[in-house]
Amino acid sequence: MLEARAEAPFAAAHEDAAPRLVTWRSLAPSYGLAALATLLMGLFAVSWGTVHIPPLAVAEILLGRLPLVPAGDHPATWSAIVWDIRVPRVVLAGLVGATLAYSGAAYQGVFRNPLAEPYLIGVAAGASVGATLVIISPLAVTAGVLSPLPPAAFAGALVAVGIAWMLARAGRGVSTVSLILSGVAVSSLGTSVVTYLMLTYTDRTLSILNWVLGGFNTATWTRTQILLPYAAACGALLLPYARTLNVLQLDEDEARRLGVNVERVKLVVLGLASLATAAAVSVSGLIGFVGLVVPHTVRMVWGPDHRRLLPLSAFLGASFLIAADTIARSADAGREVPIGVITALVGAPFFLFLLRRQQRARVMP
Amino acid sequence: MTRTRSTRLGLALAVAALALLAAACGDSKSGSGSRPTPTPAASFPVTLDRSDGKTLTLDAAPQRIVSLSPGATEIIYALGAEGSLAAVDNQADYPQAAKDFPTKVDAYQPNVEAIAGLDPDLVFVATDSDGIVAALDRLHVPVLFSDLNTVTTIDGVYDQIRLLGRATGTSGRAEDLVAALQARERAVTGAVADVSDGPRVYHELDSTFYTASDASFIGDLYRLLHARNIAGDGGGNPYPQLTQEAILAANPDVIVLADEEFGVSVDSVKARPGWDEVAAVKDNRIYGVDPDVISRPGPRIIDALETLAKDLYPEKFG
Repeated sequence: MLEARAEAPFAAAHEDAAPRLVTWRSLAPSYGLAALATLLMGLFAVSWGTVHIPPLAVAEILLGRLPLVPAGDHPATWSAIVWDIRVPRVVLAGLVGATLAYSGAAYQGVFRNPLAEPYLIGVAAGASVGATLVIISPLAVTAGVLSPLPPAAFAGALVAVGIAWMLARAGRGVSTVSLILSGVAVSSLGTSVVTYLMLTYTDRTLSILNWVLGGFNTATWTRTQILLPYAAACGALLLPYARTLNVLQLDEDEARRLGVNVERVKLVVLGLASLATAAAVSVSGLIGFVGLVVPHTVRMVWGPDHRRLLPLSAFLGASFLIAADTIARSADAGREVPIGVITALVGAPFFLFLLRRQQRARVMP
Repeated sequence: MTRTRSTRLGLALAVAALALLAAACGDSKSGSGSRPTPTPAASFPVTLDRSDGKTLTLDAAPQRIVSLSPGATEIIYALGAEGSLAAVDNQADYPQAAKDFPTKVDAYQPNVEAIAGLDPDLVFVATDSDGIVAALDRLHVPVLFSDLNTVTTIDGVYDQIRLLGRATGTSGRAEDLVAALQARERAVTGAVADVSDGPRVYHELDSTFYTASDASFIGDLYRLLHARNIAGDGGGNPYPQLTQEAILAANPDVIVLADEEFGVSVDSVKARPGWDEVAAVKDNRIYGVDPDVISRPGPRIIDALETLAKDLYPEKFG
């Protein structure tokens, strides 16, 4: 399924990018623009939904949350829809999209494999097992504040990644090849456990499927509060590794000669990305394609420099998932469309397009 | 797209499981003891239509029935034909005797060999999962396939009772049972006949806002009660998933929870952010309902109708 060590697919482009000429400071404007675009997308999403609320009223309701600003005179239902339903939903979708996308970029950077994505080494399967065990247990599964589901999914994800890592260890280091293979094995194991439980506890099948499909229909401020610290901290800690990831694209041995502690980088980068992904998955379920497609898009448009790739992936991922969720909640008059369907509908054709492009580029150098 | 399908399948399965359980109503049966029972011999051989367009002919009353449907199991008990049961499916939990039934088989991943090994002379299938119907046909095991998805109304339940009556040689008792259920149904619908503007209802199947639309079997109950289901016809989808936004905007007068066993409660609904503006929350009109009773096509469906009538119109049925 995976070419374990793709022929350093980004290395060629890397040389063109001439990274030395790019300083952190020169990147600031692009960060700012991306942040602004994401903010605009968020505002648009908040003012859009199946219930028509005039944008002006939405603005007044939002501004009315600030101290000293009078809230306009609007129906209480509007205010509830905007502030309690739409805003947490948009914020959560944005956070999850950002987390999955920058984690995907980090995974692709470490594995140097275009197929790498944040679910590669067991996060998704582990989280599913954790969530499923809670759903079939007598523990209350609520959409509310004290739901045991997110912590269980989080724990499951970390356990799975931990197992994959242990299995892949040989001697001093962990080779990316064996990590991918053990990740695939752990994922299959987790998936089979979930499938078995789903078919055994048939009265919970729907709940399990629902969780696995993922989405933001039950988004609350609580969930955004759960995710925010992980998303922000892991993202901030990953960013300083951008240069090292650039060097890593050349070749592991060469990176070692250049003084990079490759094993440590792998451990830290994959650890942070997995932690962030686990947190995202625990509050949103499994949403595919974001972590795969968004970093590729950024790389195609803005080049392979990780100092650009990581933050821009986060912003584009946020915008992409906010947009997808807006479609999910408004495409079908009051009925929810599974967001995984939307991201896959966009993601799968795009991915095929990417593959074709790459194949052509190889045939005609 | 496969994911949508599997969700819906999962839902259908879950609902099917619940639906099947709800069937056997001991109360309505006990009243029929003094009525004349037809001689089974007279009603065989009998030819029954299956949902897949084929027919099944039974030469004699089956003595070793395997019921892969909790709803059918409830009906078989209600018809007093439980003596001919050889096995029930593992979701069967009503009546108690069905729950305690010594031989159980899995209806979702049916093991053909295990079923055939029971040497059944009739297998009742409501959900053709895993190609079980074709597999049993190949083994020449008599299969009565009555697709659960085709039962979308209470009348469909009555048909189901009649079908099982004919299959088990208890048609007379089946007619009596249907008549008794219809009388109770009429008592309810008669009392709400003058209602033109019933309450708006949101029926919650799970905490991610799956609901039952007019196109579903559950929706038929609300239609009979002249309630206005906020899901409408669900765009033809019997079990659509609503957005919270749509629920709040629809402002239901009554919320019915079929997901209390999943930890949703009246209090947790009240605590949902933004829901304090919903009429049902303000007026404290949130009710629980047993999901098995309300979603299994069986005799207990009228229990569900009566319970909902009390919840929706306390002034009429209090």
